[in-house]
Amino acid sequence: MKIPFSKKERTPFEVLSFISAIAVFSIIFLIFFALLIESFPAMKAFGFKFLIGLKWDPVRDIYGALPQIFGTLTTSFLAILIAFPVGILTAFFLTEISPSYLSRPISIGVELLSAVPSIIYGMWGLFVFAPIISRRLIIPIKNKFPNSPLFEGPPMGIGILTASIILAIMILPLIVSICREILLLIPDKVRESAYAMGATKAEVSFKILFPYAKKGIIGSAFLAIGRALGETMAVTFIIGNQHNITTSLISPSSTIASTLANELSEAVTKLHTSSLIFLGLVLFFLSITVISLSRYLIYSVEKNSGSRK
Amino acid sequence: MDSIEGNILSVEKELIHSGEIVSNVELMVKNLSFYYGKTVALKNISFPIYREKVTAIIGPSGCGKSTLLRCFNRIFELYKEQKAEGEIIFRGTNILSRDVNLTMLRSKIGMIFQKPTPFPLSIYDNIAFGMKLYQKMSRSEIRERIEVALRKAALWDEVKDKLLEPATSLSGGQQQRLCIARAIAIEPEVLLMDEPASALDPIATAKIEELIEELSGKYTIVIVTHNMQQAARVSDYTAFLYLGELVEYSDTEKFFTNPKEKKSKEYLTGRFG
Repeated sequence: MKIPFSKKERTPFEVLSFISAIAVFSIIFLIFFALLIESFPAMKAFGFKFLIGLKWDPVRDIYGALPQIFGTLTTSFLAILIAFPVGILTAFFLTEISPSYLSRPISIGVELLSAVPSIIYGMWGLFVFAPIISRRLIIPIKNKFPNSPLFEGPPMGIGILTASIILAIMILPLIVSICREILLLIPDKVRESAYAMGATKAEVSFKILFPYAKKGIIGSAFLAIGRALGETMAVTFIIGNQHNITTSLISPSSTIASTLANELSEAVTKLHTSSLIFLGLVLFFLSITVISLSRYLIYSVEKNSGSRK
Repeated sequence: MDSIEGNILSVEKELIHSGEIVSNVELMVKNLSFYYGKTVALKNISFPIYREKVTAIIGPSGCGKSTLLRCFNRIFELYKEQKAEGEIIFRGTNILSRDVNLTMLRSKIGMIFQKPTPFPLSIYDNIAFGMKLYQKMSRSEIRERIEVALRKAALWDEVKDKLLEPATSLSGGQQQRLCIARAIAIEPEVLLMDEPASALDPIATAKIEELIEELSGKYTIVIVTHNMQQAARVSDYTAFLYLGELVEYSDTEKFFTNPKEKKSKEYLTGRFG
């Protein structure tokens, strides 16, 4: 008989939980090494030029990833530019303004947004949203500013702008729920003391609560960017999938993820496949960096508010 | 019930005897009741708060003393289930009535909380925040009034060289005095203090008490404290609450040397609380 709770003895429960935890943890390294090995031919062929090359041409087997990197960063940046103000205002409404009978249904509604499958956003974006954007937004703007380089090209409604708006809708729930949680972490006494000075809700929100929660709010934005960077299906449907760099918001473009979705199953040459995997590695790095940064920011807020209590 | 009203009557009589006039009353609490949802926290409380005097509200924890204080600036309204009934008369108007402008009310009645609550801003901006809510001022004016407020709060000498540093870098006692400076900077008439020294060490506490004494000539101060010695040291009048009822209200000296009510005696001798 072995003594229960002895240090040398591990129960099957302990062993199994340890294995599960290690398995989950090691998957990230396995993925990383797989990507690294598979992208080796492309690295050898193009080296650093892969990242700054302007041409992505499967026919001549020349691959430069800058158009996709540009498209990925632009759509994510525009998406956060749209989603962030809406998200933070929604979070302020839910925590500071809304009566309780409203804040619950709105919170649930916002969270349901994130339950909508990505492909549904893609279909809806392509068939419903893109035509509306074209008719109601792009054409009126083009009429007003006929020579604006931001709105050059045919008003198809498919392109960077529409993709960014769809992305913004998709990352909105993330921003709202994290900002809301961070605002709720702020001790009530901080709110009370600001209101006790006669500040209005807007003054308390923007001048006191926002600085208080700043790090976490920015962290939520980074986390949302991380999501936007890798979003695939919806973007693939509505971005137009052309590998070019333009200043025009309405011209078709492509992102890393959309390129992978479109081409990986049809890649013929080894170099094409390898280049696509290299592209995946770039995305992997971008996402990991941005999400680690956001985790760090959010974590530091939670830690602070913990020690303050 | 009779005894409470009797108390107030007797105080009023004494005031008339001593030649003071009733208009010295800054805040008149009349039949104030308070509810957390359906739970009654204050039952039909009435007493006066005199201008430029220190009134202490004491009682065992849970007696409703903080709740009472939070009625004077209606800060309880941040929480939807909390409700006050009755009247608090301030300058001839009932501040519990719906049409009172809360911003203006809170500019006249400032509040200091139990734990220091510096905003996540610089020392300078902590004080400027409140001032800027009410009027447009030039930089030099703001700077001047910040100095005045910090001097009044006995903090100027300690922070004059680091006004732009974050307020959270100050010690607990300094933070609390900063909160007092912040409230004073708006130029209120009444200062509500909710156990302002209970989170501080004895030295910082002594400084706060000293400050309360200094401020008492210029401001009407209502202080909630669970520390009876503190109430005896700093206040002119004392209101003793027990289980949401006002047991006794009188002159502080009288209350501590010769309380009228049996409950007060028991509380003072440490029989409960």
